[in-house]
Amino acid sequence: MNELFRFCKNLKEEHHSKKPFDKDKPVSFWSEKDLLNGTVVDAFVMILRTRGCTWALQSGCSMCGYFNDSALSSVSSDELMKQYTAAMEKYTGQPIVKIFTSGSFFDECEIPVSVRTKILLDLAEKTQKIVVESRPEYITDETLSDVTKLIRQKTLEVGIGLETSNDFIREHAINKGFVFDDYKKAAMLLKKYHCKVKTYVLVKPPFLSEEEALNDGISTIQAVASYSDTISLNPVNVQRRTVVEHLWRRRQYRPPWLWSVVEILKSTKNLVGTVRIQCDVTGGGSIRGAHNCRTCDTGVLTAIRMFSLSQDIHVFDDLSCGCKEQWLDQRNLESLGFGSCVDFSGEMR
Amino acid sequence: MQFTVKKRDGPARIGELTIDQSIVTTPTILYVHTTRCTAPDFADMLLTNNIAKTQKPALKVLGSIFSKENVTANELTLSDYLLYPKDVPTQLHKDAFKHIDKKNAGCVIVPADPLLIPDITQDSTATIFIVANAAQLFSQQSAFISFIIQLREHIGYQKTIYLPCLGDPTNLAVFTYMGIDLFDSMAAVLAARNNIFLFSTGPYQKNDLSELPCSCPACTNAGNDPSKMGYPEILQHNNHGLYNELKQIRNAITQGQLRELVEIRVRAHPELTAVLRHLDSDHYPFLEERTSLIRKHPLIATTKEALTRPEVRRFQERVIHRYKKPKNAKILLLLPCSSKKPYSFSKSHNLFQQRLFGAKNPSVVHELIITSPLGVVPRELELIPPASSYDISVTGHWDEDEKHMIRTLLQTYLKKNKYETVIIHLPLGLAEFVTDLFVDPIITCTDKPTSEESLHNLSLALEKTTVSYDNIPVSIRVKENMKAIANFQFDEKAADILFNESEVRGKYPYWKLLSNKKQIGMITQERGFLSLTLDGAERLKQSGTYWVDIADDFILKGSLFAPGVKDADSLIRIGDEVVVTRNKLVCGVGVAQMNGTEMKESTKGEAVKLRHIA
Repeated sequence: MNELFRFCKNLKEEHHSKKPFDKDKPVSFWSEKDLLNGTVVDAFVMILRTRGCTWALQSGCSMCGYFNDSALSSVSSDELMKQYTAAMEKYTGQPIVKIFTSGSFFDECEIPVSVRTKILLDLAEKTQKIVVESRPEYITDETLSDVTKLIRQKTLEVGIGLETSNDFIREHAINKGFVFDDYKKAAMLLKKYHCKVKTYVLVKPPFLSEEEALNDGISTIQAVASYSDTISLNPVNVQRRTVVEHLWRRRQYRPPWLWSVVEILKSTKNLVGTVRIQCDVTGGGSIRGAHNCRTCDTGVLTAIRMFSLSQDIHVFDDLSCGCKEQWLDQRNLESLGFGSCVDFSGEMR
Repeated sequence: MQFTVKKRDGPARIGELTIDQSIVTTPTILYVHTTRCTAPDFADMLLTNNIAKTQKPALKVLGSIFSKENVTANELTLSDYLLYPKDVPTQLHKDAFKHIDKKNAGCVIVPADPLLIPDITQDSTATIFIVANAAQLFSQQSAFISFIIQLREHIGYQKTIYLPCLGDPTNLAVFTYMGIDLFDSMAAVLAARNNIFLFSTGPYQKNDLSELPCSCPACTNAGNDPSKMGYPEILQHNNHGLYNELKQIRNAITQGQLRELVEIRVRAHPELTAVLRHLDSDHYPFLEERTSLIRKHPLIATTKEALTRPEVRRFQERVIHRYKKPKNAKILLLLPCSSKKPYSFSKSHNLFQQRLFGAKNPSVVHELIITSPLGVVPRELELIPPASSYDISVTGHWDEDEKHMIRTLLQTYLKKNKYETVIIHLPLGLAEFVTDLFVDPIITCTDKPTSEESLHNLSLALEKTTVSYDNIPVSIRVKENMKAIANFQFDEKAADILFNESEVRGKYPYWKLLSNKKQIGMITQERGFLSLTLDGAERLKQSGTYWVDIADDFILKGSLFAPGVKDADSLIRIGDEVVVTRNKLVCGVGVAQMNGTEMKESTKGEAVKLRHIA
């Protein structure tokens, strides 16, 4: 067994006291802005509480704490449908609906086929575009032929958390449990069924320096452009009971600089043609999320949000702040510290 | 890449790191040299992350295994390494080794997990051991020290330890004293970025410096006005600060005075003082093994830590465990120390001894000097360093640590060494906290020990007490005294063998030990210890201690070099008198220049300076 696999697993087992969830209620739901055929529209988002990501139940990824929202015990079809119905009470006809599960929508251990069928049939009636997420192993010919029949002419977009095109990083820094080729096969299968592919690219997994993370982000975006309709850049935020949090608490991990995120967006946009690159900086500007300094975080986050909708890199033109020097120092000097220099935003000692 | 130790002072060393055609003197600073940060001209060695255009030796850190740089490595290039943060499971760190190519590596990164040290160091051909996660490791000082010491004990004397990131002018001294050889200028860079000026007394914010106490070129060029100095100028100042301190440290090692410098420098930060105290209290054997018996300069004891320095503790432990008072000494005379050393060469001790030798039977009296930081020094040991040469700040006031130390030592000493009568000739402030340890002592000081009245009382007491014992000839007592030195220097068994059927001749302090008119050894004021002839060496060999065994085909010339040493007694310290044997036959005698373990381990350097060759 891979030692990182064991580490990710053990961190989850160490803390195991949790109050039981109300399985009739979804984790949350809200409305947000997104793009549909080049136009900014409202999107309705809901997160269902399933029994949890099958991979997370075995070990899980080094940065992912979404299992904290999962029931971690069986959730019946009835309960899932109650969650869906509860969320849909607030639905006001948004043309995009995103259904997330903190796992894989196509994993039948999380969402039984009957529930999946009911939800998709319902949404096909109500909305234009349906967005779900899945690990590649659940994206099969059988499932896709099944679900595409249900949604008829509506658009189905499937997000895949590839994180990086570098198999070594995915195995030794993320513990993702699949390889680049698995992603490629899944993406091609989605194309075959005329589904849209959204590829999640991680910025700064643990164990990588800022510079390494930045370079990996750039090369991953280039490598996945031909398989993707949308690339979603996800800077790591420190989630509970993860390897990332374990390190962050001990000052051995710093979430990525927003400057790195900007740099990745700027240097890849012109290389990916019509593929859309979006970036939602979860926890941006906080100590647990991607951040620069207190002074410039808000402005930079706004620019990133604007870019996600406009795809125009000129939104970054006027950004500047004194902390940019510290970021450049971090890129330049971090590896010379042999693990000592984790965060250049302040004094070292 | 090769490393040779040239000079030693405790665990600290001055060494030579040979890299291709260049020789770098250690301890040294690897100056950061990148596109954003240029190393100063005076840098002897660089730390860089690109293919720097420089003729200077440079440690190059290229991409880790997570980056995609393809480079051809040489022994000073690190690439494709896999370094996890400090606090991941040990097994994950171990997993990382699988990805590291150990072959031809001149440098090895050691993650800050002590459980990994054996695996990483075993069979390693590397010369430089890089302490990873140093900043996180240092946040727990005692764990930090244990880690460095464990690493040193595993890699031995002939390798170097590189401590990245932490070195600044306040801590270079104490880190060097722990045995670290290589530092870098990262702290200087980061401080400069934050407008912090580094000095050996501590860091200062630019805005807090209303005057700039520095005349380095950077500060001079700015007209000594901190407000005119930005990142490049402050960095230049900080780089100078590191270099100055480095030179101070190397001088101190050469002079054998590093410990004194360390005791001054650790005042800058409480955690550095803690490092020194942990070192003394938790790692005495490590320090002691590496600490020379002989000194070039007086030991300066002006701090609390001086009480616990290894030279002092070793002296005390030998007095307690090895030393035995002369057999015929029945009356104990407690005396204060003198500022001039050795004591008998001082005015005050001259006065005391006039009174002592004016008595009828002085050979039954044993003088014991009560002092700080050594505690108790029997008169015969006054020539032995550090008793022969130390300096304290004399105020007549004794602090509680000193009182406790003196009382404890005296009590332990008296358990092993019994006297029938005790005369206390000590100043009142000192007598006050030792008198209760004795039954009916005679107290002779009324005011100062050198006053006419006190000296008169001393004479009367000596007169009165010595007559009740049989008269002991001086020659008998002198031999007992000299044997007491041998007890202290070697051990009781060796002393018995050396003094068997022998007599002592000569005028103190130049006593000669003879047997059948042939000299066995002699005491000199310069050394304080017993120096042996080949006949003496023959006797020492019989004791089974302080031996150095050389290879069968090795021919001895002026000095014995380490490659010739097959095995050596691990009791040997620098400055010890040792017997050199070949095939169990004595072939020389001389003074150890390394400790026994280092002699055995080393492939370079002078092991024994020979006095006589058979």
